Amino acid sequence: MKKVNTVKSLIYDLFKDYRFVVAFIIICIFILLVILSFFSPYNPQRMYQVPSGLPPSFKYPLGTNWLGQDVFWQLTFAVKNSLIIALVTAFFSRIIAVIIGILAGYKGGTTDRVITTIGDTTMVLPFLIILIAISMILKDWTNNFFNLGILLAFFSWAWDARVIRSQVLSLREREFVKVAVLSGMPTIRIIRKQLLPHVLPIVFTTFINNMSWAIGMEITLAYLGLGIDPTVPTIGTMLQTAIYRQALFMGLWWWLLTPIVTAILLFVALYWISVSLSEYLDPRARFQRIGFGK
Amino acid sequence: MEKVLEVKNLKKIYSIGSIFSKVKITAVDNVSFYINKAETFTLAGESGCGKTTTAKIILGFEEPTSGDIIIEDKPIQKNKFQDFRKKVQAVFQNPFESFNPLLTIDDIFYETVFNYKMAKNKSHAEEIINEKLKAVGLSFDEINGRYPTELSGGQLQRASIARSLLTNPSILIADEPVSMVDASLRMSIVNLFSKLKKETGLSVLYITHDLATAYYVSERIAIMFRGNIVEMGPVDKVLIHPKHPYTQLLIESIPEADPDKKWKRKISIADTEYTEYLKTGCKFAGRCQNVMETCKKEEPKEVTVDNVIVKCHLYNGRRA
Repeated sequence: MKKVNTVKSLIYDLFKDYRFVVAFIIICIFILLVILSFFSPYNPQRMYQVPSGLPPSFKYPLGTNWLGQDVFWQLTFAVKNSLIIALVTAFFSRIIAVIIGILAGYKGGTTDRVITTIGDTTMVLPFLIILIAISMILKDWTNNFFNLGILLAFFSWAWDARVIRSQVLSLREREFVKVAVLSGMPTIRIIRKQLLPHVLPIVFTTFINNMSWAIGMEITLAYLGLGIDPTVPTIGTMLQTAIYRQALFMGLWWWLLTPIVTAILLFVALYWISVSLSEYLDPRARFQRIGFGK
Repeated sequence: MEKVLEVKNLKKIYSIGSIFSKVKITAVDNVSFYINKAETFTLAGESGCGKTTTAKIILGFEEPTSGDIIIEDKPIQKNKFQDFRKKVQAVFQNPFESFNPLLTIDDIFYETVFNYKMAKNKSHAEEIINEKLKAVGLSFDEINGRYPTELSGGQLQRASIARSLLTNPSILIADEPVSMVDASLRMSIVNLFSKLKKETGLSVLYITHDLATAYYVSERIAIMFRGNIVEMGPVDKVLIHPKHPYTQLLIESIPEADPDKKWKRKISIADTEYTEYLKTGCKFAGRCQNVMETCKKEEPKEVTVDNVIVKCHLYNGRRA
């Protein structure tokens, strides 16, 4: 009963923030697109299935492109695939960040120093150049969602591991952790039961940030003709194909604009969700916005 | 009398600063004391005098630089740490911090009982928990399924004491257990310690800066200053007839509820904690009224005067 009430008040507080509401609606629309992709009448990789170069109409909501593909149905696949890459990246980098952050924070000493050094090294690597180099050399390996996701995850765990480490460093000194040690709990259980619930809010907000970072990186790589196979629609490859096939010169603005608007909407939605969530989780910021009187 | 806990020549050195300017601070310097069965021993002193560090070392949260800790005639062994944890339990300062705010209070009680394999099933565990909670004046229904924010500070501190009693420890380390609860509850918790001592023969290491409750609850007392025990002995001798100038200063700084009485001595803080720790000779020399030339050079030796161990040059020539 109590749990239900907390969830209720959490949703109530979050929906007070217009940014969260807008972001939530956008994300819902994108999820709808993902679901629609399973009912697509066309194979996204085949060309010349519809008349090419038609402007948006009732039959083709977002028009068709020069390759004879329906842009709307292409978009449904693109959103799905981009989100898969983002989720894989965020999921794996979160796992690395949580394990490493907690280990460094809780163990301290030499373990901490070694791990922090590795993390700092990863952080200062010029990751864009390395990503380009790797995806050029291992072109066949990086052209599926899962491998690209893992590659991106490897470059994005360090910042958040640092945040989690600092959180655990302060948690470790709190009395309830000492009481847990005195109650004979093994270290693994202390981490899982006493520390992890306190760290989870950070994991959630950084998860969303990491997703938008991964989408951005995928677009960057695709624009350079790297990463995912260009015939597989993602937001990045859609954009790349449109630019490569000179959509603008041919006046097919809907072809070019669709991935751009989608990317912007997705970034805004993810950013607003992460901001409103972290503001909700930080009591000082929350009080500034909704006031003390609640 | 049986010694439950004995601390021998305990030393803890912290290194501060970078590689180029390392400064070693001896937070606990050759501290030795013992606690008998069914006895309350107080470790008193101002903030930053090393009393909490001593407690942390005894609890195994910090590694001592040197020295031994002997529990019931057995030194602590690393491989039998679980047995040792069962014998030494602690109550901390802040009752609101002693329980995880995201878990219910009964959770840590069950954890303690099952981790030390004291009960086989849940109903047996509940029996043990209820028994200990009754000893501190609570009942199981008051904590069952409740979060720490739902209880008052006094209730939480009692619950915290009950949790530490679950394993039937031979010694309880109480690190400023009453400094965060208000005055009326302070007495009830101090009385609880006396009651437990009488009924179950519990030994308590009572760490505090509050000399009034220390006098009330304990048999023997040690006054710490900058890592050293400067005076140790029976509580009525140390607190009624203080010998070390620092103890005298401490007792004079207890304010009395009488507007006509002014504080006699002006308390001057000439040095920072840091410089006092680095002093050679007597660390109190910077503030002492009876300071002599030798105080600044030589570290005073322990002298027994009238059943009380004093570490001061004033008593060097004398023998009781």
